[in-house]
Amino acid sequence: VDDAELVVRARQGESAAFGELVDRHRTAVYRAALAALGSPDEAEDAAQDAFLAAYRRLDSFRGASSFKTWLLTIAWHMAINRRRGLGRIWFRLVRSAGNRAPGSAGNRAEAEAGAALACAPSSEPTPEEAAASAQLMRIVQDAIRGLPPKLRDALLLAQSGEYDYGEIGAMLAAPIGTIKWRVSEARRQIRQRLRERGYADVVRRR
Amino acid sequence: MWSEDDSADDNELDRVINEAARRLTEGEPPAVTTRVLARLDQPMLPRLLQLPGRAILLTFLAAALAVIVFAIVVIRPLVQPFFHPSGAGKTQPNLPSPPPAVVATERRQPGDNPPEPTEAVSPRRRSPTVVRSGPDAIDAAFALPALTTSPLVTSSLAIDPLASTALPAAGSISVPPLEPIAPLAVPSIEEPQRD
Repeated sequence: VDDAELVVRARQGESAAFGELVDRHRTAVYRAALAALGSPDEAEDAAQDAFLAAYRRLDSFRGASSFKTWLLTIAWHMAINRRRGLGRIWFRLVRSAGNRAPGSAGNRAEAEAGAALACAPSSEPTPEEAAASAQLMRIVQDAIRGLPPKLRDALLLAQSGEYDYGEIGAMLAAPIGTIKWRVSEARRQIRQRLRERGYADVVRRR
Repeated sequence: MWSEDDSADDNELDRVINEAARRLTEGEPPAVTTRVLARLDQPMLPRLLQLPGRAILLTFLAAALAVIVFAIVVIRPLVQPFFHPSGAGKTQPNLPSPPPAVVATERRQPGDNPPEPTEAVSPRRRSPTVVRSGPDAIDAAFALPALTTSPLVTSSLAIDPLASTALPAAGSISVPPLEPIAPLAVPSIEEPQRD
C-alpha cells in the first residue's frame, strides 16, 4: 500500500491508516526536527506536533509532491517556529558564551584532545587515542553548531541520510543548487576553523 | 597553489565533518506512533496556545497577574492608613473640600415676609448617627446634621383682569372708477422693395 492510498483512507477517518503513515515517516520527521532543534526531547515533541498538524491538514494535501515531502515541510516549519522561541534563544546565548570563554573547560579539553591525537601512534588505538577521537568529534560538532543557521541546516539534513536534495530544497524553500552550495560552504568553513586551530595535521595523522 | 596534499586533507576533514553531522541527527523517536494516535482523539488546544511565542504570551500574562496581586495585597494596605483621619503618626493630608451645596430658594413677591433662612442641601445626605469605621471614616467627619424639611409656603399671585375695549367701526373703502383705455392705432407694415 503506497502513501497516497493511506492518505485517502486516513481522510475517511481511518486512524490506523494514518498510524501506518506515521510509522513509515517518523524517523525522517524526527531527524529533521533534531537537525533544527538539536535536542532529542524537543525534536520528539516537534515530531508529534508535526504529525498532528499533518493529520488535521490532510484535506489540503493535493498530491503535487510526495506525502513525505509535504510532511517534512510541515515538520520543518514547526521545528523552526519552536527554535525561534525565547527560551531557546536564551539557552543558546548562555551556552555559546560558556563555550567561548577563554580558559574554559571546553578549550582545555580541546587542546588536550589535539595533543593526544598528535602524539598517538598510527597503529592500534589506545584508550587515550579513542578518548581523543571522541573529543575531536565533539569539537567538530561544536564547529557545526557554530555555523550560520542556513549552512548548518543544509549540512545536517544532507548528512542525515534521510533526504535527497529535492526534499531538502522543499523544506528549506531553496533551489537544489543553493542547497548544494550551502553544504559545500559549510564544510569549507569548518575545515578552515579546524586548520586555524591546528586540527588538519591531527586528522591527517589518524 | 592547490596540491594533492591539500585535497587529501580536505577529503579527510570532510569525512570527519560528515561523520560528526550524521551523529548529530541520528536516533529513533521512541513511541511516536503510539503517542500521535493517542493525541488524535484529543480536542485541539486553542489557537492562542499553539502559537510559537506562547511562552512569551504566558510570561506576560503571569507578569500582569503578579502586578495586580501586588497592587491589591501590598500597596492597598499602605495607602489606606494614610488617608485615615485618626491615624497616629500620620500627617493629615489636604482633605478635599466638601461638595458644593445646592441652595434652595423660592421666588417671593415684594412686600412679603422676609425670607426664611435658606437651607443648604447636600447631595449626599447622611445621618450623624451613622458611625462608620475603616476607610469610610473620612466621610463621617464630613457628616452634616439631619435636614429638617418644611413644606414650602407660597402666596397666591393676584392677577388683574384684562381690560377689553371695543374697536371703532371702520369706514367704507371708496375705490375711484377706472379710466377707459383708447384703442391703439397700429400702422400696417409695408413690404421692403427688392432690387
